[in-house]
Amino acid sequence: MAMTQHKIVFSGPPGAGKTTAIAMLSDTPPVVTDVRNTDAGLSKELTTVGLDFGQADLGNGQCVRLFGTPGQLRFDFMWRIIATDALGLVILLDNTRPDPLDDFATYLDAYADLLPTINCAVGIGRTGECALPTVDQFSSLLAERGLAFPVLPVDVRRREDVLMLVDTVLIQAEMRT
Amino acid sequence: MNEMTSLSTLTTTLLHPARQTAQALFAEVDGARAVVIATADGFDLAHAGHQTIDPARLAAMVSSVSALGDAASRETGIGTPRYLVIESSDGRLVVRCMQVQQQALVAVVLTDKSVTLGFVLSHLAQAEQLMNAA
Amino acid sequence: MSRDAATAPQVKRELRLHLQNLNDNDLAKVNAFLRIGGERLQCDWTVVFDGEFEVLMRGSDERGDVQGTAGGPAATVCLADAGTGQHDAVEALARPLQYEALLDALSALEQRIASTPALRAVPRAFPPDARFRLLRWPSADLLQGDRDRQRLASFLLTRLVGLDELARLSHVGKPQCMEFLVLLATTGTLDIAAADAVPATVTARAEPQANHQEMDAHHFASIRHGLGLTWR
Repeated sequence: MAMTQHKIVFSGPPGAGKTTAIAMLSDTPPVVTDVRNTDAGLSKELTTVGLDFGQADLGNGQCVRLFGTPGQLRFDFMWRIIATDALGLVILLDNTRPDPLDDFATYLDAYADLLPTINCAVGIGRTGECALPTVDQFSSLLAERGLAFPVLPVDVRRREDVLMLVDTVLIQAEMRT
Repeated sequence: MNEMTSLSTLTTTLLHPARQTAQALFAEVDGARAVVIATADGFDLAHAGHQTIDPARLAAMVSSVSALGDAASRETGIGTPRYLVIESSDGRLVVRCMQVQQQALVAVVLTDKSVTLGFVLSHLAQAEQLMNAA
Repeated sequence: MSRDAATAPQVKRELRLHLQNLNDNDLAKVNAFLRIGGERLQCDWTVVFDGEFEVLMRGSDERGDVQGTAGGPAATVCLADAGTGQHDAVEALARPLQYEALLDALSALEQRIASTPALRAVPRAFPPDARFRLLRWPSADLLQGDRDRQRLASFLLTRLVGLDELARLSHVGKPQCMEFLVLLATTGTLDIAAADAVPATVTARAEPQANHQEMDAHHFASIRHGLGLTWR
């Protein structure tokens, strides 16, 4: 039986939790393309330079393929490639980074052509450690661009939080059928 | 999102050998248009050549290609990749995955299609040896 | 990493003060005091005489019906002559109206309104067979981390949807859906259209890049089931 495949892409700056989020949903340990980080300004030992890949078999001949994009700006060419024909895009942000709103704007710019057509949700991580910017400020940034997507505080180490983001993507897709 | 970066100390020690190697590869490989040597996480250390390219972007791209090649190699149990070749209608990108002084690097030579592939592969292998000896 | 709250942009919420049965002197004072003391208040207060509002200020002699509300005003300030009895108002101020007294009363109401979702202007009844669509994602205060509200808001993002359809798709009861729609309507971010109408304010999303339109409700149900999404 032919397998019906759906693609959901997780994007966002380094350390926002893309690989973790995919691992929360993937049936098997995700394929990662992490290499040793040489950027002294990024406090991570490893960094993704290709993509992350996971898969959730839904049964009944359906599966969801989960892709994670590399976070650094120099890999922005990968963002568009990976997001092509995706059922949905989840943008994960880290509220402890120096300028999360600027991070968000970067991704909104990068995906500007896709956003009118793609189902999208935004997850703001580590809001407990850093309360500002507020979740509402991210919504306002979307509104300034004439966009409206779910913006939710999340902990990607909690499967139910990742599922909530995916559910809001599925809801948007469902409403457009 | 600002990406002002500072390479790790180990990487900066490779800058000079990388420049020498890039220039040598470009000089020795007839038909070479450009050479880029990059870190495995996509920073260009050195480049040489007459074709106008963006070495930073090419460095990022070949690091992605290399990483995907590594993932596919692991997935299929065939070890670690040495070369990746992108044969296109008007040229060829030959990528060598290197280990230089405990640092993973990626070297790419952009050539005409007329250049013998084995010739390029051989020079890339020599380049890795020379960098390790430096 | 800590953030400096003072550097965050300050966006004031707007609150509407409906004035009823105030004499010219009281009206002038209210306007003057709001103009002078506006910086002290957390919200931007606007004086209105009709339409929707959050707070009613009325002279003590009249109750009367207040146009444009359903079920009563959100909160009331009663302006009474000194020495008269208190009325069943949330706040009572004595004439002659004093600057500090007015600002203190409004400031207290700001706190109550912010913390009590029910104390908001109730919109006019929705048109029959009305359909709804959100113009922007609701505030965290309104959603309160509630999964049902987050899901309902998601259903309202891409196109107009009626109450029945919203309840059916979300598996959330109609009364709860209606309560949420009423709350959304008070924020001014809910587009409301009569049946079959396509409001000019709605910006329809472009066609999806991939052909996902062939998927139906069964597909999405099976995706949710496969992922373990079981809200209901």
